[in-house]
Amino acid sequence: MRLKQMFRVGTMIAFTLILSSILSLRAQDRVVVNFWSHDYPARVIIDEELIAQFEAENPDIDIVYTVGPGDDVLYITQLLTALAGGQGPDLFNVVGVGVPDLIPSGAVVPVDVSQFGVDDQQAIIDLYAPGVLDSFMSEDGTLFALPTELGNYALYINTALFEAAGLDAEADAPATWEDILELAEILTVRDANGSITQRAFDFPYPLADEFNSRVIVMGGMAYQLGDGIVADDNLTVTLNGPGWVRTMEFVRNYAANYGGPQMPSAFTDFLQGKVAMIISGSWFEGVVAANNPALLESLIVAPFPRWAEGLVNDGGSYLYGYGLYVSAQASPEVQAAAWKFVNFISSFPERYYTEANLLQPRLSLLENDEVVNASFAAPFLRDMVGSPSLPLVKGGGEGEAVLGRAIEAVTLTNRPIQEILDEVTADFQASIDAAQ
Amino acid sequence: MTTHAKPLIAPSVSRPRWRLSLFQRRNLWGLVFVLPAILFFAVFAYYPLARAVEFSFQNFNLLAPPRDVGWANYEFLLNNPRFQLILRNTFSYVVSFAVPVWIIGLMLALVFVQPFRGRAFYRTLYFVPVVLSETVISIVWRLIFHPEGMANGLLQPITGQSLPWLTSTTYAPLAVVIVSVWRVFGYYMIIFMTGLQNIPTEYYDAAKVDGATGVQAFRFVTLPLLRPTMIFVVIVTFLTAFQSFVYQLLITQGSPLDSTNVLGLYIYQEAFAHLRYGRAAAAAMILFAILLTLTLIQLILLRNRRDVS
Repeated sequence: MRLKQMFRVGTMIAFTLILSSILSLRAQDRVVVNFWSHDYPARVIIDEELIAQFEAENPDIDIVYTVGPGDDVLYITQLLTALAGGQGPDLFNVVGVGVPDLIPSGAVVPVDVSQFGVDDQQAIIDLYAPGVLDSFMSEDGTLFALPTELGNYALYINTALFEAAGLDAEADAPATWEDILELAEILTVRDANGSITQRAFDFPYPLADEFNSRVIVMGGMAYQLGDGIVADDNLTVTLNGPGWVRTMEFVRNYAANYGGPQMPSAFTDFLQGKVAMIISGSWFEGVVAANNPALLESLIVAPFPRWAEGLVNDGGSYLYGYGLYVSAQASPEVQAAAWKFVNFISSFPERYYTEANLLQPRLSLLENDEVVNASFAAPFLRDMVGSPSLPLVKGGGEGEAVLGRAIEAVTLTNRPIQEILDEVTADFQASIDAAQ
Repeated sequence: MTTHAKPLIAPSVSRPRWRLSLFQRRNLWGLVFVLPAILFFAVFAYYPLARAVEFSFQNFNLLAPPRDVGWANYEFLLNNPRFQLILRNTFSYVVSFAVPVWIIGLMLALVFVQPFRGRAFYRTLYFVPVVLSETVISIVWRLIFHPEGMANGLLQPITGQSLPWLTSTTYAPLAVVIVSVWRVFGYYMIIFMTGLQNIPTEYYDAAKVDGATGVQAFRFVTLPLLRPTMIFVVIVTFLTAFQSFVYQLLITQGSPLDSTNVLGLYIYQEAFAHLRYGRAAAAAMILFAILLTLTLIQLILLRNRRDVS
């Protein structure tokens, strides 16, 4: 009896050991890719569906998907802490300008062209609109990432407010910054005390509930006048050039007469029908749909305005990009599997645009008239070519905050604009110098 | 016959080396009991502190290995006009937060130690903000201070205009102070009440017999006997105010023009928004030095108090 029991237990242990060995052997056959992304619910749904599809087509690869905070600062903190501790993901999505040191630090590896079925990276670059992948390249022109979202800003117009003012939004949409000033006279509504109750347009000032980027908007305005954020050496800050001074003069004048940072953010007031025009990204359509779907009925999008006088570069706003990067800490086989997955997931730009309002400017999307003409994509896509990418400057992650301080000083004080810009330029320069 | 007297006391026998004396055993057991706490502090307090000191002499962005820069981070901070402004803002915030908290807390405590109808209800009412989350409070007050929010709705008939609560360098610091004080005065009210209740009533009776007025009793009985409580409240309000950053982050983000930016927020921004952990650590060390000085002052004051006793 005792022997029988011992035999039974022994058999069970042996069976368990054999089964776990088989399972672990099977697990060893599969390559596991840990993939992190920031939260953007509409995109996450598509990601999850495509991951399932990819795993079905590639049974030897497991994609373990982790969604981090939607706030870039929180997400980047988690990501970098994990990478620094050797516990980071193998593949991750991040906004390049938020981590300008990512490529120079050697934390990520170049795109593995072999996983894309092509001979060189140029074949991958040629899949996209010209120049749009610049912000994913190192200084020597090596490609390090592909976009999950590559965006710029355009002008959203509330046609109902135009009609109420006796205007035709299609015909009277402003093409220049000077046009915006003229329209401000017509579209700004004040109460009996002279307080503004409806704004024609306003800028993204540094306010708590303003989600649009100052660098993308004001940077684009200055770029049109010939000034970048940094010089071609990618080291010298040029925030105090004449193009920036003129841009800030425009902002100061506009804020003093037609809006300004003392008012609620234009972002929230546009959603409530109290601002006729704002500048934002393609994703803003989704924000409108979620917060005030009725507004979609009276929404059109026009290209980013240009300067009527003194235009040097006929570009739109700055381009920003969320890219898919592969960690240098991953093993070569995991890196290969990760790039294979990147090749797969970046082949659905139409889906990401139509279902999540995120632009991945592949030529296949640009040439898809059905999608482009049935949506707001056209002004964004047209403006992308010829527009500058936000520069990835080592130690230059503070650009948005620096410009925010400049805009506050411009709009809330009477200090000379040149003096303000010289000050923030020196501040930003010191930060960049310290990081070299 | 020779007899060998048996010694009354056994000769001292040398104890084996591995055997411990009673005191040694007691000490060892004591050490065993405090060891978890020591380990906890070593891992979660002293080690991070030591690393922060090390980082403060380095450039570190979490991606590349840290690079030694000597005193450069400290030199930058101490010579940087923006940091000097933030340091001034911090001191200004500490004073404008702490003084109203002491006054309101003490006045309410004096009211609530007296028996009256509904005392428990009102005391609870004043204490409620203490148990609320700072995040929730910040969001609610941001709505109250919105240009079209409740604050302007109530004040506009008096001021005649909408006040720029969160976008003016005059009003934004005031708004942050109002929220901070509103949140905690109930807590310090309770602390002061405890102190007041510990003062024996005989002193007041004696003062009354001597013909002291209410003000005189407060001046010569209440205040001196409340001194330990007051020292505690002063130090704790200073320490918490110096470390404040949640309201500044969630209500104003330090704006406008850095008028609501304080050391705690600056450290957060440098580390997490700008990925300059070295400079953030140096700023944290400066904050640490300030807090350490305050704590030493507290110890000296309390010791003097004990000496007097």
